[in-house]
Amino acid sequence: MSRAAPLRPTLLSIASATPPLSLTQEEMYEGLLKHWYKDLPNSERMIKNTGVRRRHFAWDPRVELKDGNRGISDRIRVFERVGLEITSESVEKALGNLDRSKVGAFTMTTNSGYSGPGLDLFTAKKLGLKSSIRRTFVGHMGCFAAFPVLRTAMDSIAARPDEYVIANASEFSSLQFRNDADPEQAVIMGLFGDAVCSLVMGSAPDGEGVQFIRSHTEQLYETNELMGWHMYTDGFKMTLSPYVPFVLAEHIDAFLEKLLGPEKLGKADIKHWLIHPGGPKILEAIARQLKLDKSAMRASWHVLSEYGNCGCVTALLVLEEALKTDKPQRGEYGVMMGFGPGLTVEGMLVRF
Amino acid sequence: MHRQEILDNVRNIILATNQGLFPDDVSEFASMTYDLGMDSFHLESMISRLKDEVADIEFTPWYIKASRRGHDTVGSLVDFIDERMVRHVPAELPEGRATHLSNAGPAGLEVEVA
Repeated sequence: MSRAAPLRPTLLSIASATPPLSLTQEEMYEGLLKHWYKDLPNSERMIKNTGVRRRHFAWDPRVELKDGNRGISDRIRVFERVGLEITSESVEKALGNLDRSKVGAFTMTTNSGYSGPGLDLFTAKKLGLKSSIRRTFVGHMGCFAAFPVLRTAMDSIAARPDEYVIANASEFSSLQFRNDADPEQAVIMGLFGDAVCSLVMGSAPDGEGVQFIRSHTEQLYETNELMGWHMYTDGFKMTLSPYVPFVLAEHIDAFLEKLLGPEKLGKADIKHWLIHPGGPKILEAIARQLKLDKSAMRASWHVLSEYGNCGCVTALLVLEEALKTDKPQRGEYGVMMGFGPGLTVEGMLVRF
Repeated sequence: MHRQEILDNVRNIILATNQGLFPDDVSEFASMTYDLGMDSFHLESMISRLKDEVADIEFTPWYIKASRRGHDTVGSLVDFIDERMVRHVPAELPEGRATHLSNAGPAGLEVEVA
């Protein structure tokens, strides 16, 4: 009697959605950032050097923030209204023609705002998902938060392999934009954009489809001051040390050994590097450390250029872009990576 | 290598990576980001050059300290390298890796244009 192949968490579909407002970096600079940073030397160069060509916005920062920062309640009201529209659009696209009655769990993350009931409940209600759906909200963890979402989905599938799980990341960074005129904030305001991406995951026999093989996470405890995401009465504020890319680069080799070693794989086995494009320096520093040429991270550079850093969504946008354009061959391996406050380094081994 | 040699080399690298600076700007007490106006592009050029020369040193402890506002002084980087080089004297050099700073001046450096 032959033994059936073990089941693996498997990607069934992936779909992103963006707010309709899209601005080029030039439009954003001329329309707002130039005025915010009029006393800041080199601000135009810093913003141009982000590598971002275009971004989407849940509101028009040129209009909404032209008179300065807004209170947190103004920001969250827009998050609730626009967030539901775009999140449900992405989830609906991902569900497509899949049997909605099989969706047993819904895990979502955002760093952009909070409400209760949350966007996950209203999205599930809007799309007619069953009332017993198990919801998990992962909040405020940072740009790597898609990884805890994916891990939660993987656990859910392992426990209930007959069900589908929605894994969603929604980011509306522009709702927390602020006008502090210093170089650190100028870089951040030049980098971040808004987007949503949703996956539907199920289980399939080993080797059938795009499968999430294993994950690894590391907290670099001593580096907790290098990045932050804090709340103030006039919105959330990110802090970001310019030394972050160099710290990540110094730890990447040891991290990859822990991610890949248990599968008896090494860097040379990885064909697709799906790295969170937190900024151009992060991609460059990691590429240099891993001795990768730019083409190995094509999808990451593309997402940085066409969407900006969309926080927790970005790594999923990179995966979607790689699937759509790079068309990985069956059996090829990819590594997804995300970074954020902690510093935290997250990785996921994917087999296409 | 004496501390003064490390200081001279670090100053040369900084001047090479940010050609808008004058030698007198690059004092031991100058913060690289706040006083010298070095952005991530300048920092990357500097770190990259340092890494080429002292590949065995892990800089993360300095990055952590340097990330506190104004703490990324030229002198703090020199002290860090000096301390690590004293502590880290390998018996045998790995192939292709240097463990001491060269005395190359700005003219000999490849500078990334941001």
